[in-house]
Amino acid sequence: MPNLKISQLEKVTNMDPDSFVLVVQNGKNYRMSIKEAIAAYVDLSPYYTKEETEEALNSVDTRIDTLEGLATFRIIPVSYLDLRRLRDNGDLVPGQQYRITDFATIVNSQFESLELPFDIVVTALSSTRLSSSASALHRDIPDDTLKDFDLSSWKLKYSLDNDTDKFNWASEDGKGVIYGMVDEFNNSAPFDFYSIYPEGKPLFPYPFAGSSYNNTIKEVRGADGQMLLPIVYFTEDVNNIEVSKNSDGEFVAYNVADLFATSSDSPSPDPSPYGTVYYIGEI
Amino acid sequence: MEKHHFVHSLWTAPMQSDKRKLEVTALVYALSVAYLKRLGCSINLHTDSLGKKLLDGIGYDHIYLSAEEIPNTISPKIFAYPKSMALEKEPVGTVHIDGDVFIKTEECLDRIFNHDCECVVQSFETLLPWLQSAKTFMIPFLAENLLSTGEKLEIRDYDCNTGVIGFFNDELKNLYISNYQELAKKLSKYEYLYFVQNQYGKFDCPDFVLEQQMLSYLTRNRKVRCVLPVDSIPYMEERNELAKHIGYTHLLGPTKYDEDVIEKVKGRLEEFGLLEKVYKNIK
Repeated sequence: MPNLKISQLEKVTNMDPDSFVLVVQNGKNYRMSIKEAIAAYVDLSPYYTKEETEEALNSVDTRIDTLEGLATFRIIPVSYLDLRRLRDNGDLVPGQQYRITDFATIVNSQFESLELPFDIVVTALSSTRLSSSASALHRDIPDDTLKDFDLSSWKLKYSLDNDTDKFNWASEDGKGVIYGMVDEFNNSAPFDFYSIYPEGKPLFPYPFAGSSYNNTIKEVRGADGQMLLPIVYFTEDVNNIEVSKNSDGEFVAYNVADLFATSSDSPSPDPSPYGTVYYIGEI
Repeated sequence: MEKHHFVHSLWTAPMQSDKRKLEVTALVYALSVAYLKRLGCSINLHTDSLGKKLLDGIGYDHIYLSAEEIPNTISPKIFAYPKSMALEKEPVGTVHIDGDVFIKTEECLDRIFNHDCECVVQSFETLLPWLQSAKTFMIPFLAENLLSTGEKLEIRDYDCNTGVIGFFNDELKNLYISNYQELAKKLSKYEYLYFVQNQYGKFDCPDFVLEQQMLSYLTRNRKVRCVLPVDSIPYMEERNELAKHIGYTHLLGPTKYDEDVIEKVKGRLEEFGLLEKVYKNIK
């Protein structure tokens, strides 16, 4: 249970559950209502008697055991496991962005991964669902292997679940799965091609990542629809990457770029007189 | 607790000859007000005399005939001009929403208010390719005419969707309003003001760029929040899911004229007990 200090900047003057206090934790400020502060186990004893606090507590319907459960407007840093817990408990805040601070692509024993460290940012659509689209940010670490790359321009497709039925490279000990990646050079693949060695042949830092542009590795699926890590061979011209059949012997290839396209059923908004019916939300 | 304060604006001059548009406008504005009133918010309207006749008695706290004061040098093609007047006349901290925006939950209100920022908008959107006029005309126009920034204007790679627009900083508010009104006056003289069909058969909207692209530029180094963080969510289905869970709706562009949409709006108005009143006004 966190012991959170109320900032001296904003003194509590009444017990109206909707009035606001400023709470300080780990040097960061959180502005919240009294109701929220109580739900987050903020220690109000400098300002209220035990009885007053207990009385207010009775009016609180739900408890939140971390401040990260409150609706703030910054990107909230979380560990992968904490995010899983928030999702599984229905504690995600719609519209809130979460930054997974310990992400790395971990694969099962059939494959190899450099497990390059970078953070992933995801957006909650509801209390139990995250968007499948994600972005990347540099992790604040010494010797950042990716320091010369523009991670903020990357586009990712990310699944919080380590679904081994869906992705043949996933590991149950993983931190979610990247199943689509486009970097700043417009190279794209249906996996984290900076970390994963397909068939022991790295794509990073060469030939991808700055040495060439617009390379695409197509998505590969098995007969049962499972996404398969493709086997990649380099031809003599390293800019011409050939994707072969996988060990199952059969595959259906899709264009990875389609993973990032907006839905064809829902075109982008067009305020022209000839736009299609398109509204956000429900009436 | 202080009431959250909103404002609508409506200039009927651009649509006076179109009875259907007037009817639909009355319906959606009324529903927008009803949702806000349900949350205990206050809302004013800045309009003209026809707008007052259409929307009187449906819940506005005050109706001002600000649109009667629009200079005759302003073309009715800049139909959103009264928005700048509404923001100008209302106190800082007032949030303008389009009449086809519905704020339905406390959660949504919390995304708009109660945080440390200088400006709030609906969302950040990637500059869409159909905005040809932005590149060929509007950006040079803005660059030549923008007041007292002293910096080179460059096209921003995102727009601020102003379905919601609110300023919590006097200086920024005044900067936006003065630039908008001055540029609207100049833009009114240009033939580009008329809807122009470009090579893709799309209609460009220079005034759209004036409002949204300019805001993007003016707020480039400011603390801006968005209600709906859809810039990281390219899929329409996911955007809708997020909007639904936040409790936000925007009937974009021509959507509000769709028969199914109108029927839903009428249904909701019926539930609020307002449908009869709205049709009395329309007649």
